[in-house]
Amino acid sequence: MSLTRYLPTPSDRMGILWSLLAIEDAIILEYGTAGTTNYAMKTLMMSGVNPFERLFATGLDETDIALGETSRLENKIKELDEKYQPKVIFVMASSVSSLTGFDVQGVCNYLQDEVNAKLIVFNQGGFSGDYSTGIKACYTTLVDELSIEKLPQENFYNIIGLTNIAQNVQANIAQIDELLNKHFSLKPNAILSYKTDLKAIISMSKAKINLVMSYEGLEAAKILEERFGTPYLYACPIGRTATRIWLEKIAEILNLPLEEEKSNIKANPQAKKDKKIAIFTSYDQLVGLKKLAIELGYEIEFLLCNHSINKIKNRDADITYLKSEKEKINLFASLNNTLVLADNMLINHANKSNQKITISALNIGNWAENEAILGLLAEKIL
Amino acid sequence: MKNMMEQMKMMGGHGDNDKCPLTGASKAVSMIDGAAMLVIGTEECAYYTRSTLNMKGSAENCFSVVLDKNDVTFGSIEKVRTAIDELMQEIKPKSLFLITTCVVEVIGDDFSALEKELSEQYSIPVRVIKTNHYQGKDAEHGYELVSEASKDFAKMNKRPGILGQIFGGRKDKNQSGNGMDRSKMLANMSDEQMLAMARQKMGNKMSDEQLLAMIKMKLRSK
Repeated sequence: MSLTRYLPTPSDRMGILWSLLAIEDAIILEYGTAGTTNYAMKTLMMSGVNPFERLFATGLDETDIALGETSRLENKIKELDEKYQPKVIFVMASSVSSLTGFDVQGVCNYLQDEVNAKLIVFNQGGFSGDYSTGIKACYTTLVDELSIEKLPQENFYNIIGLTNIAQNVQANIAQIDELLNKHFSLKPNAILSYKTDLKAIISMSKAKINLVMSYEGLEAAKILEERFGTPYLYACPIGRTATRIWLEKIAEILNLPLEEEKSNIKANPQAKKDKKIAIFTSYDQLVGLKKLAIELGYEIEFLLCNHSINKIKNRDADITYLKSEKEKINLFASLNNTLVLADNMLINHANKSNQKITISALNIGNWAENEAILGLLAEKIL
Repeated sequence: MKNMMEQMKMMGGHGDNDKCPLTGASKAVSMIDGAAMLVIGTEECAYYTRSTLNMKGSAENCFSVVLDKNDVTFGSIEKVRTAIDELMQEIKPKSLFLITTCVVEVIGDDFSALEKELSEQYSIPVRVIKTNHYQGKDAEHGYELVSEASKDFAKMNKRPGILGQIFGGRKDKNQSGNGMDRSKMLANMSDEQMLAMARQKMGNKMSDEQLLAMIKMKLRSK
């Protein structure tokens, strides 16, 4: 059960790197072999993400590894600081540097006085969990390190927890934007992590509310609440009922009216009898889709998470996680006459008696490929 | 273009050797008829290799074993054996390349001893290709390793062995002196072999005559 036939679940390090690449003016330095960074850049470029003048590597050779030499890291940080004069340099460990025990944080601590850029270190080398662990660490660190200054509140909201790794992120954000603009005249400020910039992250305190769309963003939202008193709402609204409740809660938090004629999202569609559903996606989307599926009368075959769930507190007991790819394939192959919502790899193992819709491919770039499932649009699929 | 050149300079490390040997090795194996590759390393190595090959439509025989904390601490050889067993049951390749990456070399797992044992067990050639990039070697080194490892495949499988992607504008030897002498390799190939190679790279954009003329012109210019 140890063979991987398709793309493996991205690691924590990949989750961090891809989330940082959503910050358009970020300078990222990887302390590792140039080959890994080059390989990442090639894949990113082929996916439509531009890493040029944003992603760099120090390079590592055998001598560095044998002697614990860190001068490449020091020199490269100084070089980037001088050449680009960035506000922040994100310094990332690599699998090799973390295995060999390089103290990246220590180097950055003593180098901080010699450079103008703020140095923010991510020590994860790819062995501390999957992409979900990585993006959680990334959101928390970004908010903790950068959202420090309290600014006057304006008509903005922040989104925490819609990742650029999910291919439907663009459509989901558009749906939220439409709802928040229509009902409360609010505009998006920072979106962690999709097409944002350092200025938006630094000014997260100007938002009236933080919308937490996945558990990965919860810790970051709590920091903002504690630091600035900004309220947050943790929910992943999928379908009419959930969206209605979500909008009502936002109205309540912001003490704003929710106009009935504007919302117009009352009627539930007809319940579907004798129809089965199997879903494979991220944890919070599973929670939202489960509620909708039950409401619509589906019989649930399985709810399978595409990342590890053992660190999620009070998690839904119906949601499971399988590490082995073979077990996942067998599960999909066992489905018959079911609506299957999954990624573009596993879905192929469900036979032709099933109705199949791709909703959860994990791949940076190609963001416009899938339809939104947040808000009012999920019922188009189900 | 200026940005790209600047970026390459800023990448640091090894100058021309920025491309990992894994890229060359995986591309080379993907061009061998009936061969499968098993990339042994981190999620990144596995993900980017498959992803890159997939975009070129040649990922069907690319498999991987992703190493976790436990494997890094206690060794990965048994996990890899299990994966090979699964792979052999499912796809039955004509040859198998175990491509090891930086992490495998750092933790010191030695797969070389498996070559003979697995070749006998499955009655196919099994080769280990070490692609740890921190040794300062580049993508061409990956091609070279696969080429060297498969040179006896022609005898074993009665067909030409791997020759890698041999065209392009780059010079023959990289700065560290580890590059494959492509001119020499081309000079030893028959016209049919050269054409087969060129077709892999160029597709059907040019006629056989045009392709041969282009290759020979390149050879003369070396």
